[in-house]
Amino acid sequence: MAAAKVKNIKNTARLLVVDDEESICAALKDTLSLQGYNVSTALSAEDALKKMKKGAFDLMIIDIKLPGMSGIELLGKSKKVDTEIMQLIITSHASLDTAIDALREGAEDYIIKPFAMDDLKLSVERALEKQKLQRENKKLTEELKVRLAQLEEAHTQLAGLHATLANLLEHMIQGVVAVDRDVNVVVFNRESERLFDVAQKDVLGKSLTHPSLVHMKDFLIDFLHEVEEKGRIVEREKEMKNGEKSLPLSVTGVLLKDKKGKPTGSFFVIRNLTETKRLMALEEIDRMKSEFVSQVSHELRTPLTSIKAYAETLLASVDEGDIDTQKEFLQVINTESDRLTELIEDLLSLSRIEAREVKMRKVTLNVKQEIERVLDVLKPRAEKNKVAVEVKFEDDLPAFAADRDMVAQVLVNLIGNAIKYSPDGGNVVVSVSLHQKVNSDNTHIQAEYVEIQVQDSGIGIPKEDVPYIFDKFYRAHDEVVRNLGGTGLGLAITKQIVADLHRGEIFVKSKLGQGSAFVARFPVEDEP
Amino acid sequence: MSKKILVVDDEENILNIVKFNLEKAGYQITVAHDGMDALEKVALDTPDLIVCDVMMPKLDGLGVLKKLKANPATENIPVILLTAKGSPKDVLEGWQGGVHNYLVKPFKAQELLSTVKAIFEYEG
Repeated sequence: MAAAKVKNIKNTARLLVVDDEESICAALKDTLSLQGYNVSTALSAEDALKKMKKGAFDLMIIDIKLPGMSGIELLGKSKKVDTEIMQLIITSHASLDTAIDALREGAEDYIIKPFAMDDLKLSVERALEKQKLQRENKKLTEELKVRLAQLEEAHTQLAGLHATLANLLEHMIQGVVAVDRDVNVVVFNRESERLFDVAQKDVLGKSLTHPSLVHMKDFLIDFLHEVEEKGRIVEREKEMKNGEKSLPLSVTGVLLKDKKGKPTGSFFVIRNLTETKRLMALEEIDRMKSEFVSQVSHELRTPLTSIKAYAETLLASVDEGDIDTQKEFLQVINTESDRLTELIEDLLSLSRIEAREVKMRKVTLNVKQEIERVLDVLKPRAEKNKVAVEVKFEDDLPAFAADRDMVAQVLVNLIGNAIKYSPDGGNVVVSVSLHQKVNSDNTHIQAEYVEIQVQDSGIGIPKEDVPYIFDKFYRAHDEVVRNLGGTGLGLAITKQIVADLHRGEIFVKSKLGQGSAFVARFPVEDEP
Repeated sequence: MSKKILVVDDEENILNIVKFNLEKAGYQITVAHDGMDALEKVALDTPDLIVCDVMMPKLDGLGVLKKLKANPATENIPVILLTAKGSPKDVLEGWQGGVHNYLVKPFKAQELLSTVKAIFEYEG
């Protein structure tokens, strides 16, 4: 019993009874108070409004006939003060029409006088129950609005984050490509467009197996398999080929997985190495330059050291008078001076060619005449070394345009070397022929060259030296060869003249113990 | 008995003039044409001093020095390096290898002679 009372008090609704008859007010207050409601009374509409301003009510019971402001009017005014308030109208039979008006004005219910208290209680209960539901509904609606606002906010933030990430991905200096399990491209940023030469819209959603993406597939296929196998790959270098275009790229990739660890696709970050490679090449050129300077300084100092040492010794012992030793010393000084001069001339010649400071005077060349002229010059050297030089010409060689002095220099270098490296009684064969380059289908000639081959009967060039034989100051690591002298620049100059200045080709075929054959090819052009 | 000096250089002319000057000063000279040759000559007959070029084929002067220092039988042979390079880094490499002295090419014959003399006086 006590518990029920407490509960009633706890749920106490506040009621306001408005009736100009004090006795009715008192009766209603008594009855409803007994139900556990907190009941106030007002004798006029004005009084009721005043009381409402002092404290809130849940429900008002209004007699429709009031002095001054009518009950109907009070309905509207009190609703303005408290929109949630429940209103019950007490009316007599005679004013039933008015009761209907009251309902239109927003009253919850009406009770016809004379009425049974139980009916009133029931109406009050119903109205309060309805109000409770309305209030809960309103509360829920408001909560829902708050939730919605929170969701809206979260969504905006996520959208912002997504936009930032997408923007980041889009403008990364690396290419980003992601594919799903069926190798459909799902991410393809701007740099990727540049790297692979395809527009984003032509790639996204498309399978890598699509014919238009064959260059991408060719490039990525190995990486896809490896990422699948190992989970990730880091900084792999590979040349990407797309028709004529070729790019050095570096690829880092990961296998994408969902929360359960199931693979969902692959993600690649691709870096263009062109600039890096270019800088590395520049560094290499720099390194080669300083190495060349130190080589030159060494090559210049070596004869200078001899000259200095012999001259000094000669000066110190000039009075001692051993004329043969003195002659011998002077001979060394003379030879070393020649060597120094030759070296300086070769250096100047090479630097002029490399700096493109040489003027080429191309003329239509009679190669046979040129070789004979050079052989005349080299004859004493060949005779001294007891080397026979044989020349073979193919018939009907086409004329070609070249700088006459330069071709002579090439011939002197190649034939001179061949004589130098051939043993006593050895022979050198110079053969001139037409060399034709055909296309891969063997259907037509792409280029024609006059080929000059100089075959010696020397010791040959060790295999490991062959790739460097045309480098500056590269002389075979063999004492015999080193002691034959030379500046170490002859072949470098020869290569520059043939390959760079005349757009020809030069290479060597050599087998240790079987001699070497140097081949120089000059392109046949229509006119000089 | 006169001191034995091994002269190592791949340049025949340099080898001859160094030999000429040192012989004239009364030393007994052996020559080698590269680093490997030098080590073979040392193994055959231990010299009292080695005059060695730096830039040589097969095995360079610093390589010779390293090999000599690694062998207790040869680690105490004094070495004079002849170098055409004069950069501080090369010199430092020489010192770290335990070289007694070095001469930068082109060097004076008198310089070489006084260096050789100084080393023998110091060594006793």
